[in-house]
Amino acid sequence: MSVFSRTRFPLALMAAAALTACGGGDDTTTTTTTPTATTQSVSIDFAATLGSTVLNIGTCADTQVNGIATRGGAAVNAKLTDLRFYVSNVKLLKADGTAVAVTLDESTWQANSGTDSVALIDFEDGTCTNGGATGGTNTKLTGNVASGTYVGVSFVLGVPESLNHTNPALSTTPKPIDASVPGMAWSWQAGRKFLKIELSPENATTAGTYTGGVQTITAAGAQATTTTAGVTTNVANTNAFVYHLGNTGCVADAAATATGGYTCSTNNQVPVTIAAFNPTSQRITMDLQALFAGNNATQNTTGTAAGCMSAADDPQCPAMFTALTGAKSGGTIFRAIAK
Amino acid sequence: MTFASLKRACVLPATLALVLVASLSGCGGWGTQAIDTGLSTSSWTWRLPTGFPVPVVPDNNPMSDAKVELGRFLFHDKRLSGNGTQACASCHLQSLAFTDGRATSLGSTGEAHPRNAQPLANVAYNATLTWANFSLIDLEQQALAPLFGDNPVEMGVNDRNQAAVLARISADADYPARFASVYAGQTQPITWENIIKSIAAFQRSIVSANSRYDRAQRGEVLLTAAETRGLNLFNGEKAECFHCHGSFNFNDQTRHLGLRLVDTPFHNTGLYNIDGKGGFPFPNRGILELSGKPEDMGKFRAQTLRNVAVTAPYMHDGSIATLEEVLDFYAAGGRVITSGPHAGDGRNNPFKSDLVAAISLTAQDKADLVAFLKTLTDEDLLTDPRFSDPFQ
Repeated sequence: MSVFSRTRFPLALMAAAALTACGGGDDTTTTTTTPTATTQSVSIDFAATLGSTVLNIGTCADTQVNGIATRGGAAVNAKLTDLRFYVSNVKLLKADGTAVAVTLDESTWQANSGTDSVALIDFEDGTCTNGGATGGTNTKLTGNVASGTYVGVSFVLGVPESLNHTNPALSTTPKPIDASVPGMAWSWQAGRKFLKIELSPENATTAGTYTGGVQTITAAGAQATTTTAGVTTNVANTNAFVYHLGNTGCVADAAATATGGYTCSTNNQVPVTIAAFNPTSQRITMDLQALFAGNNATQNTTGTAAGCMSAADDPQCPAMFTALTGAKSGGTIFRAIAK
Repeated sequence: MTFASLKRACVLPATLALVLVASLSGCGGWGTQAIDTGLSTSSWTWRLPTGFPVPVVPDNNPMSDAKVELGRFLFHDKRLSGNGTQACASCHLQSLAFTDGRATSLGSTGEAHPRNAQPLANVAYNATLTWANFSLIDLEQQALAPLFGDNPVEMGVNDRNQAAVLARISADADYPARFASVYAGQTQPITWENIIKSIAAFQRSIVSANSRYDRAQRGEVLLTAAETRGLNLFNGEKAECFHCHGSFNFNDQTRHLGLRLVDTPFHNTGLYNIDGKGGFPFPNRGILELSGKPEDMGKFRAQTLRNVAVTAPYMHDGSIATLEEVLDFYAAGGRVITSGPHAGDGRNNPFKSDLVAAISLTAQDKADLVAFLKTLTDEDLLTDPRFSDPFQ
């Protein structure tokens, strides 16, 4: 998997070299053939759904996501305490398959950097237990694209590597990934959380209580226990199932100068293509039911992160990764629904 | 005034300053104070004895006396945590060579941290910065973990309170002038960028080079017979401490000017073997937690031994209380835990470093090694007013 990052930069370099080789003669022509009249504005709405139910997000206060978790095969009530993710390099697709990059309008939520762009989609307004700053939701992308007829859309779930390891505190860092949203920083990986979903399942014995709803289990799936002075007790339940997706195993390229980039051993960016999409009548949803389909979210293996924090050896991660791999190949997690 | 003339007016003083600097340089000795116009970016001199290389400083965060002093205030300021209860210095006490004396630290909200607090003396020379993280290689990046980290919460600055924390710093009677002086020309200099840069500059300034060992190296004092025997054991093939603690900074991950290659090794020393397959207890499994590679189980960075006598307890999780016990642990070639959830024979950890093998150390050997290790304490560091709490 390390091949990803290692091959990426040389390719980029080759492209740059090729462009340079074209020489300066064409530059004037190029810069004068892109007047704004040849672009059209783009607005893409996002939603979050639980199956076919659109979540009433934006007035968070811990949105109910009943049925996202299961216990013993039965649906369990749960509360969503945070839901944010990054979308990057949005492109519109023509009928012939051509992908044309969207230039995002610059704002606190959206930024362009070189050939990359990134936007924070934020479904919570600051009243979710683990959410962000008060008053902030963003469920819309806006920008412009070369005029044309488009039939679909593609984007990448995640932050481009060119931006992922920037220091959030620097004034040069784009707003959507800067220190005003420390909740999306992933400081131990010197990067960003691409996706942050946190939920609290209902307690198994006390209805209406959303603490202690996650059972601690052994790797074999049994109740985890601990023995002290001959007395065996169950390991306590925990409160939350957390899903943090990001690139892992990121090694600094030039430790000697601390000025180089990073090479990540595991690339968890998720390219998504929705072949048929009409931004006027449709929006893109993230279906949490489909994302959590393979995990019951009411159990966590002892000796691993709470939920899945993208560790390859965490038993709660494969199902999440598999679901997202499905998203890459046109699965149901990201899909077009009516506005 | 037209825009053009405004621009010209702004350009002129800068040109003059350049001329002044050039002519002052030509004049010689008295230049340093005269050049300092408040920008202060060049007013820094490393106070390094012979044998100490010059640390690497990021191009975008040059050292200056004023910046280091601002960083000293911020490092000791509890207002920099979300709930105002904890400063950087709360877990990095000068009197303990910037550790906290606890096995593992506690965050501002009471959340337990899984690791033992880092000593900060000579941190400017560290190639990586925490116990087991090859991703964090500069202090400006590393600072985000204690400030903003949510797993675990340390200083507890988050999306909701970060603006309020900045406002707290801005509302101080003293800070605005200090920031304006250090970061001259910025309209709103009280930013996370400048806070982090100031603290990083302060941390880099914490150089420890005046221990009894250093003074002996410079011929100022003589080590005792026991200390000398300990030094020889340390550097000899019997105890072999030097393999991982052999640099001028007594570790094996150093970075400084003039160094062509920077090595960042991590080692499994056989502290645990909880499953008979080499397992270390979560969430302290070493760089495996970043790399995901099974062979990285239990691999941690060798800590500097400077000031080690005052940084107890030891190891990444503070699980060894005294230097004597640390020597027993290394002499045994690992640790045997007979009961409890961490039971296991660390000596047989399959991922253990080849450098950690059983060695026979006599009681005298151990006493001599401890005597030597105690010569690494820099008493000046523990009380130097340049690093002390300005709020006391």
